[in-house]
Amino acid sequence: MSLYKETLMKHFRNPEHKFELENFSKKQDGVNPSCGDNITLYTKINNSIIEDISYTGNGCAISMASADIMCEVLKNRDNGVNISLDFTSMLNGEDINFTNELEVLNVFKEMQNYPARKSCALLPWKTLTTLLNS
Amino acid sequence: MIKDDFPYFRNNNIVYLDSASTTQKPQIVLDSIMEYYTHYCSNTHRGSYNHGDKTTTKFEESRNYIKEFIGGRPKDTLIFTKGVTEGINLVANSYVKNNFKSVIISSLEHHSNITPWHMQGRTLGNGLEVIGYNKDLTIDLNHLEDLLKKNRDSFLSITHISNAFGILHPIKEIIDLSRKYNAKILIDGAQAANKLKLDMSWLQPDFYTFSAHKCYGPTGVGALYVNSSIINDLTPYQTGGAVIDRVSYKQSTYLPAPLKFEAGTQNIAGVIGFKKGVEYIKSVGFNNIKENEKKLIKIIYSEFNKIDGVTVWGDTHNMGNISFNVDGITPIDLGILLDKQKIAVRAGHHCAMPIMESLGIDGTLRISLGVYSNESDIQLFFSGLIKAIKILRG
Repeated sequence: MSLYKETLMKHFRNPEHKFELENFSKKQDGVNPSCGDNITLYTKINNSIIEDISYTGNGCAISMASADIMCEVLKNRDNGVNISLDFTSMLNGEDINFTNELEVLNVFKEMQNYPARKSCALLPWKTLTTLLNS
Repeated sequence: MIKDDFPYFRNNNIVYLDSASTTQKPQIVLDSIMEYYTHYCSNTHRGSYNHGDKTTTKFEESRNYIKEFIGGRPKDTLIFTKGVTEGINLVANSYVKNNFKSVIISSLEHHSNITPWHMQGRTLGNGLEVIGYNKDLTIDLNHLEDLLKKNRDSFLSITHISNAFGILHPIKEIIDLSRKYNAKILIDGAQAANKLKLDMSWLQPDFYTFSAHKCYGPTGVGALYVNSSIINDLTPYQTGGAVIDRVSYKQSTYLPAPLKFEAGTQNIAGVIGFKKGVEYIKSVGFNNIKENEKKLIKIIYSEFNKIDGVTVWGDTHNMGNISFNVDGITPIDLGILLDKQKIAVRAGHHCAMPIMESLGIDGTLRISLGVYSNESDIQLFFSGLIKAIKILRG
């Protein structure tokens, strides 16, 4: 059951960032029409730096764990769009290895073997890209 | 053991609980298809040679056998189609299109009995009416009667057994009600023909349609029964070869029914396999099918009662398609974790999005039974389900 690794399950079962952020500066809804997974991202952005980020939503374990992990690694970063691009490329089979604080994202590499589930893992990242580009 | 009749189970160690989607195929079906392709492959109704005649005979034998299988009278018509979807589309275009102000459907319809009506520009309250449902998802017959009263001379198109929830509609009562208000009626028998002993001569609907692949036959073929009282009111909605009496540049004239509705070379191997599929059902016996399902459904309901946070949809008279949700867990996660344990079930909206929306859910996990389903399958399913829930809940 390698798709459902313990790291992912930990974030799905006990999410740390699943709540509506107080005094958020930007909010973005995202939905995966094929399965109904939905997410709302809340961010506080100052001078391009994501000072705080959280989410609410409903969906499968993969999409919710992906959202929680994304919030964890993006706090105090200013390169969300680039990380999102790299994450998408990794899921599409490119040989990308995240290091340091981003290392946890490598847990999603397995998703290359489950094309139908890629969209679940990507939902929060796509929503983030829309938010940052809006 | 019934599973031995099915090569799929010889080749796979899988608990298959998705027969509402498609059934597995017994060896006799596969043999009949192989025999056609390897021993007398030729086209129907045209050949001036022995194999052409043999193919035509086999094709028409299938038609007669399948018509008898559903209790059709000799004077009624059985048209071969690609399946239920084409059956409904054929009726929508050849019969209903400009002749009926209102079409009435139930809340439990498959998309194939919703979208053909949308294609005619019918929307809710504007040429399309939807019958309400009770708490246990059974049909609200009072609402149906209200709709029939308000929309006399309408067309009622309704499923016999719900694909998503296994609810059996009281079809004889519904047909009788439709007659009271001069409505014509089509029944989608996709989920019923493989488990109910049908008798068209007693039911007397205007149309009844079903698919071979849910009757242990091949994919891509089905049948549409048409009552003799209305067959002459249908006009073919597609044409081409095999349906023509005479053609000149001025005009075409058609062969009599059913041939005029079967344009182009038919799925001949499929039709031959279809007959073998229903022969197989007869050989197992409707009583045995019913008793086996009844026994398994009882176990299933009892096992679900032991798991916390499970909602099982529908009434307790389920016909073998059991849909459920587990609190806080999406059906797709459970479906994948069951697949990892070699248990095949269906996760999603089951092509019934409107009822899912009405229930406030995105979808369900559905287990559905076939003639080969047994107690061991159910035990393995529940141990797999409990394991999957443990992984997701921790």
